[in-house]
Amino acid sequence: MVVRLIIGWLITIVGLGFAGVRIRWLVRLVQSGQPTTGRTADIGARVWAQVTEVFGQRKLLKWSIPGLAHFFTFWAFVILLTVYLEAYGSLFQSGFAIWWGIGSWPPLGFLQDAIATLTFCSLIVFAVIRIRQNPARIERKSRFFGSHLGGAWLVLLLIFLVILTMFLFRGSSAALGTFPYKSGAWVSIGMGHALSGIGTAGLEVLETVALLAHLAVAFGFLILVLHSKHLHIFLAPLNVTTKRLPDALGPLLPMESDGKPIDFEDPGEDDTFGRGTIADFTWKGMLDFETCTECGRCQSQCPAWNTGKPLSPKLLIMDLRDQLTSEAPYLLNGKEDHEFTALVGKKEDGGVIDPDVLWACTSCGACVEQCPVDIEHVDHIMDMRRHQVLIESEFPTELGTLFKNLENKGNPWGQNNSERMDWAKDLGFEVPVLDGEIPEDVEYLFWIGCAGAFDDNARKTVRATAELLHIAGVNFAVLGKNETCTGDPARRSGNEFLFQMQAQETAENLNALFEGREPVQRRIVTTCPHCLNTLGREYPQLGGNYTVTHHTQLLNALVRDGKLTPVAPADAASVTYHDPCYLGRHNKVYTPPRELAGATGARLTEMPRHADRSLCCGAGGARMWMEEKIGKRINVERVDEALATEASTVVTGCPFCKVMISDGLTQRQSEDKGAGVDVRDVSQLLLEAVHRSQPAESTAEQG
Amino acid sequence: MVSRLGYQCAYCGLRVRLEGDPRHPGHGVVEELTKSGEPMTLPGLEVLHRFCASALRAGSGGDTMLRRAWLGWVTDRFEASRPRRHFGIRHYSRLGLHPARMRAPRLFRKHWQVRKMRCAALASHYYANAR
Repeated sequence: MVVRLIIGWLITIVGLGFAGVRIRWLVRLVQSGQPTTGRTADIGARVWAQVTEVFGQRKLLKWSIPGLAHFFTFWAFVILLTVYLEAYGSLFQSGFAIWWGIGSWPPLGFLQDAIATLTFCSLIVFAVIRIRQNPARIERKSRFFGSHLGGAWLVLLLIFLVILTMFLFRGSSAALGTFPYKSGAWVSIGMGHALSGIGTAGLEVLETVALLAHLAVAFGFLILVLHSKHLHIFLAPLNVTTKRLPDALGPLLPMESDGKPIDFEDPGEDDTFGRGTIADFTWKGMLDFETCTECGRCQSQCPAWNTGKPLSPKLLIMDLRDQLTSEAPYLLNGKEDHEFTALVGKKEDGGVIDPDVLWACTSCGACVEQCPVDIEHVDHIMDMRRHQVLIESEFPTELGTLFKNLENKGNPWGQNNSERMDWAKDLGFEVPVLDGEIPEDVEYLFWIGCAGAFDDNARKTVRATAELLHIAGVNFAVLGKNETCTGDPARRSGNEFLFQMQAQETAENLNALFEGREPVQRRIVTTCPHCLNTLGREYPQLGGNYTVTHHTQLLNALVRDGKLTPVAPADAASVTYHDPCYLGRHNKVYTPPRELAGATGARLTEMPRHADRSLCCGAGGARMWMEEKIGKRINVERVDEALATEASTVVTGCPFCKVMISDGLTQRQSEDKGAGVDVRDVSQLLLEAVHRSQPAESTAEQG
Repeated sequence: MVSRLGYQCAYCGLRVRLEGDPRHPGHGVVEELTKSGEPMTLPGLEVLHRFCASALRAGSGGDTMLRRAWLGWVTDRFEASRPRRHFGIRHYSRLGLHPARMRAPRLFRKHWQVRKMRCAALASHYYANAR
């Protein structure tokens, strides 16, 4: 007893010593990040996130088989703490049981053995997944491509050893008759029966060796965890607790320096603009890097990675983590004398993040949506873009044209504002144009958006929506020539300054327009999910609070209220719906467009990747304005998926998606694929169905 | 909704001042902007800020944001009644920053970019409702 007590405590002291040094180093490293705000507000929501995402494993369970395996493994870590308590007690007293009768309560013994057995099964599942997803065989198709594979196998082995030593210790204890559970712990008791052939002396040695091995494995595991990607075991609960609420989608965060928003009218010359070096990241960013589990769920969903581009959200975070580690001595021991490495640049120039990686992001948010530990990939990418644009003036040349058009003409197309109302020509009724305050009887400001105003394809959507609103008797008005870009392309391309200029002007104008109305009465409807996101969720950062609705939401409500009566055709057409990222993932609007499509009588066939796992069209993150030179075009990939459903129409709810999918379809049709398929907005389908009930009143040109 | 009243400068896109001190750098002037080689039909008359007209004549170039930054810088100087001798166009290209006078000259580029944003923001706001 004395020997095992001494060895047991030696293992503990050495293990805790090494772990303590590492934990202190990690805490200091994360604390060296820039301060940030809003990470502890709304404590109720944070507790709920902890309950659902950490204890409930909500995000992991989106992938049923690996999710379930991880669920059991996580709960094993929690439940088997009681076994470790018993193990420490056994160092002092043979046959130790947790006090107050808990340690001999059969249900606890059953639970301990059951979770350990389920974890053993989970290890088999993990091993099968890792073999099937072996990057050496399937290369980029593997979600583990680029991950640390050796460490992962080592951790699986250590978890197995935890279970093995646990059952050996408990089994030999049961055979010796010192096991506190007389029933319930079915595996341990069964193991005891199996070991009963060994003599008492042999069992005593086995019990001691297994007990000490059980402790040694735990501390070996602890030290490995603290030095590897498995750090997420401890950091994930912290990262989930301090995540952006409701999640890191929708609005981008305002630019902050030293924990305070930058005032672009009077910025400090020492302010940090975006993230140019690893030292510029906030502590939350650094926590993100250290928390990454390298599971590759983000990579498996990324449209850029899936079409052969160099961007993988996982590899980007891993590269930033490696950079954080390599510059940690300077972060911890004085930043003043050290010039930190510029993050963005070619590898041969000493860069950490290749410009092709940085600018390939479509900001679709698939990575953020999938990440089980709530890493905010898109925010980090946008922050690095901000630095490149605002301080380095290094960005793809095509963006120069975009910025010029936005600065000079107020829209990305560079069209004259006098053409903003061309979409309403020959509409058959007059569209009221506001010039001054909005009249009391006008329910909605119809925000046309630059695409709706200048792109021929998008104009059809705007016309259909306007006509439907007119038929339903909705009193709406537009801004006409007074409308300008909301600033979304500027913000997503990193030009925060230009965004601020555009958005402040627009917000001031809208506030003047809606003066005297409560925010809930400041109703805006738009056909563009990017405008929806910017006006509704980013303008509050600038003092502009409006109730912004997507046209599919409003039209769906009008159909439900009986103000629009669609009539199904005799032979229902098959359609497939493409979820726009800024409507779906970023704003969680999935159902109304589908219900509308269903109301028109169309048969909806879903693509394999839909709803929160939808594949981006390739236009987001200002990619609409950049050349796509590497890999397969994302829009063509999406069109291939749509054509595989054999639907005759691809419907969507975003003018940019419509342009991208139409372009992809045109390419495929030139290759004799997808003949007869067309791309339409949901509103166009609805208008057609409504016209069936009132053929004589048809006025608008159909797409 | 506020209508886009007034005239926009053909050089920086911001509205020009037509009232007040005619020496103001943002005061409107009319310039002939027909490029050489273009057919002479109607004269290419454009409205510009007084300062932008001089910058254009000096061939300063730059993107729209930089042009606005220059205008913002000179407007700020004018409003603060700083000496007029500093109004030469070369002075403004650095927006008042001089690497040799900075505590960390290697940061010149960053500080210049920050000042550019500040001056452009100033100009945008200053001339938003110019009459």
